[in-house]
Amino acid sequence: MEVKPNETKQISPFFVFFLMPGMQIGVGILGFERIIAKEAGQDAWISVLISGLIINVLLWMCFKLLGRGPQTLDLVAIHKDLFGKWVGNAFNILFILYFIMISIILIRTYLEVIQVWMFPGVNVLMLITIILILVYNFVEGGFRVITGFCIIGLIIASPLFLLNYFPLKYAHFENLGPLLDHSFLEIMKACKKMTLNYLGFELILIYYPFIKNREKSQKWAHLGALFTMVIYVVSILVSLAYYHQDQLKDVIWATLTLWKIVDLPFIERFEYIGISVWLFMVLPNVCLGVWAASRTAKRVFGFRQKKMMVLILIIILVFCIFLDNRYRIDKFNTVSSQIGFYIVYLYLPLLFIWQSIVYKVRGHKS
Amino acid sequence: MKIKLLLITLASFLMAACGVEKQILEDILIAEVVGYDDAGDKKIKGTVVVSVPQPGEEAALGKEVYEADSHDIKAARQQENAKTPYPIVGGRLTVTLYGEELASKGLNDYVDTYRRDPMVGRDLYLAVVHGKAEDVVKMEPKLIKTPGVQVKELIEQNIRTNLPNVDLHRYLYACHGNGIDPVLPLLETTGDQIRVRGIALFKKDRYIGKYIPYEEGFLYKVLSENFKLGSYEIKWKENDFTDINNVESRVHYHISNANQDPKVRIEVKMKASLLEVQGYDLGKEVDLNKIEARAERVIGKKLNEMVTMFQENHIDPLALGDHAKSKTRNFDQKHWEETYPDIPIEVDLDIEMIQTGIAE
Repeated sequence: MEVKPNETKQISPFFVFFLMPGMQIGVGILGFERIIAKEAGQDAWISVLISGLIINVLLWMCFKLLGRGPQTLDLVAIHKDLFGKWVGNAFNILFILYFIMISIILIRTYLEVIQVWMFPGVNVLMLITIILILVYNFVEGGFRVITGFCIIGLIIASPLFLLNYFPLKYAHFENLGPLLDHSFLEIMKACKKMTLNYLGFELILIYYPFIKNREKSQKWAHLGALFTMVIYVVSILVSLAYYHQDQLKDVIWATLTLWKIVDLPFIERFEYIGISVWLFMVLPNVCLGVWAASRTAKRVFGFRQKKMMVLILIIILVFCIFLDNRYRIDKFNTVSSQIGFYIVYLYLPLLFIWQSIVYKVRGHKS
Repeated sequence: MKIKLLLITLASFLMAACGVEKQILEDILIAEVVGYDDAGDKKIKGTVVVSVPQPGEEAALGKEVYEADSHDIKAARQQENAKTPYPIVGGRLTVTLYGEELASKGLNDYVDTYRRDPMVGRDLYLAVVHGKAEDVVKMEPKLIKTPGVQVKELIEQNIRTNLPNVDLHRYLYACHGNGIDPVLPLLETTGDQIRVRGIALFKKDRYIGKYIPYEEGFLYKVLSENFKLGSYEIKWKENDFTDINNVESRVHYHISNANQDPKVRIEVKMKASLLEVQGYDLGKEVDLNKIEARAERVIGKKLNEMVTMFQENHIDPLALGDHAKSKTRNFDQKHWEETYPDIPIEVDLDIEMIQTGIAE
């Protein structure tokens, strides 16, 4: 089964730069500091840096996976090529579920933020429905529209990164010392906890066929992933300097709480604007997730993508209703973080090695 | 196209049903200053100043005081609502005051709601009141200033010279962090005025009953942060005073050997100017040096006394423990806390007179 999207549906390789952070930076950044600082304390930023670099290595593997065989331009094709139709499709279905899971986390966590920070009485079902209708509209527009939305979202939300300036007058940079006072194991544990925040780069395995001049896209993908890393490192550095380590342990949304300190003459509570604007970061995320899930489903089951998408949106809606309190959301987050960790750190490298072996054997045969 | 249009219409209908609570400015009372006192029997008494919008285009905001007894802060708010025509909201709360008695029992339970409530900003000022908090709160509405809040401006004004930088975030920072103890401004009422009495000293969340008097707040500030304003009066002998004006003051902490036998040296460098002198001839070079040396001796002694006082009371408002931690590998918190009262702390003060005003 060859995939060859029409050229009118393809994007320039340059846009991969936006797709990377567009999928990686989601809701995690609003509160990842607490979780990793618990493990590695003042050295947490080193963990963020290390896992960011590891992600780049994995990204390189993804590109290797994609380029090797004839017509193995996306994950479905790779699976089919390596494992045959049935086993391959089983793996594909796992990935569909995984993409759906990411979308659920994104929407539900964002809504939780709205519930806790802005409107405790908000009707969650209604809000999810509205968001999903928006998602439907964007995804229906095709991959180009989603890419455009990613870029716009990033541009609209980018002023929020400037907010890191405000906590600086409260900063205690000596909090960062002593450097490397935690053991290697602790730093690695924090790396593991950091995984969830970097997830999303593996989507390249799905949208690769949609890139024009694919060979040129790798450079941009790496730059995009590095950009994500820089944003995360800056966020954690500012948080570590602003909060006392013992205090940070109790702050669920460290980045959001940090915005509270923003003091502008014309607005008292900046976090309200921040949270609202953040929808422009979350929505492209969800769109990409749903798109990837429905695209893979289409390739596996052969139905029309639109039909699969409606089904997926309904699944998301049901799950979001089911996850109705902090405890469940937290648990779901932890479990998905684990699954994401194993998929990215274990499955991808194994797939890479397996493919190398298979191609070597095939090479000998021919 | 038709389907899209339908979806958009549907979305806007759904939006109307999102169940968001409306808060219209005329229909709420905005709490500005709130005070809590111990009311015995594990109860607290909350007193709140709210601004009441008046009708009319240029009408000033009226102010009103409500009070209520309850076990916790949110319940007190609810009790107050029993007396008010509109709900009281805390989104613009600027100052929270605690009575001396309540503060000495520990503030954690009564600060928690401000830490937790997303409605409350982080630039909220906390303060302790010598006596009862309600006295200060009740004094508030008499003042003509509207809608700005007298207590808030009082604290803000003094933070530049005699009070350390304290707001909710910094309080939480010090209260939750190991190796730091918070300080809060101590207010009092004199006649019909509100006055800053000094800096209340805390052991974690408990007010220890001691404070640094207002005049010496400058010295505390010199020890704890870099700043650029403020002045201090040095007494030479009876009826003989000099006023030193701080132009720029910098402080560094040198902590050595924190895990075994800690030693602390606090290095203060101050650039100062003279604005008022009695009994010296400034024109002569010698005299200026004399003043410098003398000021160093007098202020240095005061600073040493202050640090010793902190050690005697087992409190660490200068965050020496935290500084030690950030400079020591495998920092031994326990050992530090045990030895803290006996650590030799040396204050090294260097004053440089850079100006003597515009008169010779």
